[in-house]
Amino acid sequence: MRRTIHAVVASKTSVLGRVSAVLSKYNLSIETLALTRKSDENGLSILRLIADVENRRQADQLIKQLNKLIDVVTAADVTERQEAGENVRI
Amino acid sequence: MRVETKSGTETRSRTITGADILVRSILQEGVDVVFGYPGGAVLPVYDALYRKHVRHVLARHEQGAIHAAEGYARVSGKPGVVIATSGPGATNIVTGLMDACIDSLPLVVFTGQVATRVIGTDAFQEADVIGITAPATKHNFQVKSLTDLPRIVREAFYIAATGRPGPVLVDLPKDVCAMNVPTEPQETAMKLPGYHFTTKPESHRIQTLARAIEKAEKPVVLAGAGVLHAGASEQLRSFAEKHSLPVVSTLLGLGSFPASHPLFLGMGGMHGTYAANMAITECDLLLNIGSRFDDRLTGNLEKFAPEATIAHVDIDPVEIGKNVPADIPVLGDAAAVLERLESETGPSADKSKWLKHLKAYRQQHPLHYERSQERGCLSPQYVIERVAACAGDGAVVTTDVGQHQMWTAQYYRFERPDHWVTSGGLGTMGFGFPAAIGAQVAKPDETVVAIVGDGGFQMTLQELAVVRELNLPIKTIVLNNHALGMVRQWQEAFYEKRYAHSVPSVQPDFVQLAESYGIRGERAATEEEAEQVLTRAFRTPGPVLVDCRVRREANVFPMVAPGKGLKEMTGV
Repeated sequence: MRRTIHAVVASKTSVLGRVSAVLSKYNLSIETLALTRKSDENGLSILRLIADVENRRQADQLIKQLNKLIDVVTAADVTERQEAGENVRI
Repeated sequence: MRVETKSGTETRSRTITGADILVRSILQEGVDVVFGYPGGAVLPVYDALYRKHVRHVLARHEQGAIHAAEGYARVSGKPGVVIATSGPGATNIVTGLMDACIDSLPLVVFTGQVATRVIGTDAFQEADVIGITAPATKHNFQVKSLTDLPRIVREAFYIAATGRPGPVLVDLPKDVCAMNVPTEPQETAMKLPGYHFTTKPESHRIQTLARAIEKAEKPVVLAGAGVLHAGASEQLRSFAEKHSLPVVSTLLGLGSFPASHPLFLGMGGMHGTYAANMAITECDLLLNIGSRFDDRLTGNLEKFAPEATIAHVDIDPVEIGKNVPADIPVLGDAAAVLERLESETGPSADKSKWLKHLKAYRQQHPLHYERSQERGCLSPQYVIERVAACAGDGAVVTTDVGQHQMWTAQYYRFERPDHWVTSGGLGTMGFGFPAAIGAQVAKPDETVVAIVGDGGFQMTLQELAVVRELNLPIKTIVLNNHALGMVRQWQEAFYEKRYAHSVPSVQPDFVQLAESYGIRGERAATEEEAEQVLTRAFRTPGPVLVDCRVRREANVFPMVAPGKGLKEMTGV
């Protein structure tokens, strides 16, 4: 199942590697990825990615693991909100 | 020492180096000892340590240093500190990082790195330590500017020791440490907007759990290492007694509940007791406090606690629901949760029938073994029982990984918290002996016993030099079956006795080996010798190694074979 994940992350060199290491732990590949530095915040970036996960439980684990990363301020699965047409901001 | 500056020559005392700032920051964290191994990229750090007279334990391999730091952390409750050089120094600590990560041990590890201007050029002894260690640490940092150094050190110690403890690595480019500055950088506050942990449980979760405990007729507590990390052993005992809750321990949770207590059922899992595994299988409420539900504990998940409401108390949200779905998830620290439960749980259901039932299991199927009838070799379980009798219940015990580890877990009978040091999640052979060094450094006045197998001991026995150098009175018990015992056991059980590379043709003489390091070596091959030698060893003030010749054919039982449910035990 395809899940869309949004995260606020520290704008640091290693952050993308840390996020992709979590996906790699579950043997998941990233379908889409965008990392954009927030202009209004101090040293933070927005990360948006789409990954194909096996099931809901794996999706939940993935979000928990991303939130565990110290360079990730917050991460959320926004798939449903996006499908409902919401302009998602986290 | 003098240095050239633009204005001429001045004494170095008028400036300080990055390494001085590092050492000052480490000392501010209350560090009293570091474990390490020097090398090119950390020379400025070692120079600063030398000048500040910081206590440093020189391991003989970086893996020895990090396992010692793990042993130190486990028994002291304080972060173990490690210093290794760049490249191979750093890669040699990766096993220890992963071990500490999975077993939740607080470490702060400093690695040297090549100078910032050559990072990325495959310079001499360069390795991408941040990339390599990211999945093996709770967090890692590379210090790119001296200004950041004091803050990063503070953050590293804070992250390592709070929430679910774990290893934090700080990578130090040589030029940052060697840099001379006239004054220390200004202190800046920690900046960790992405670091959160929850210790206090939510009230509605406590209420749900308290009601479940009140009405459960066949409850069982699964006590994991989280109880020990939270210092909640006494609370657990009092709560279990109040509500007549039988307690099963995980491997790493041993000591969190006294082995001699009438409510204790023993260790659960692959080599757990019959009573423990049957209690998990038949219970109506499984209250897991601080265990990861590791696969060695659960066996086949579809057959795990099939009748039970599962309550899972953990400080790490990732662990809740990871392996076993939780009916009652409780995020929080074991001590905080038990404190709330203590006040919120009312009178609970009568469990006399359940306790009687479990008592019968314990009496009908206790752990058992046969004393060796062969000449010239001992039963390994007998050796563990004799070591326990000689060492007394105040001793700190470390083990390696394999059969001897399981026999120690089964037969040593741990009565106190924080006296048991073993590699659980990663199952790291070579862990036990250096971990004993760290434990003895942390507790110089306590008896420390390293119980190792002949296989794992040979992975890190170079650390004998450290034991001699510091005259650490560690009693090293080698259960020598001249084989990789657990590998051999699985080959016997699952590979039709094809013993592929599990029985080496050559072994060192461990007694002579110890003697060559200036450590007293003894050998025991009969029960009479074991009795004499072990008694003498524990009365000897300095380090002693005892080579115990044990039966190669001895196997660890009971056993739940891979893929089987907990009640499908063999060798009961």
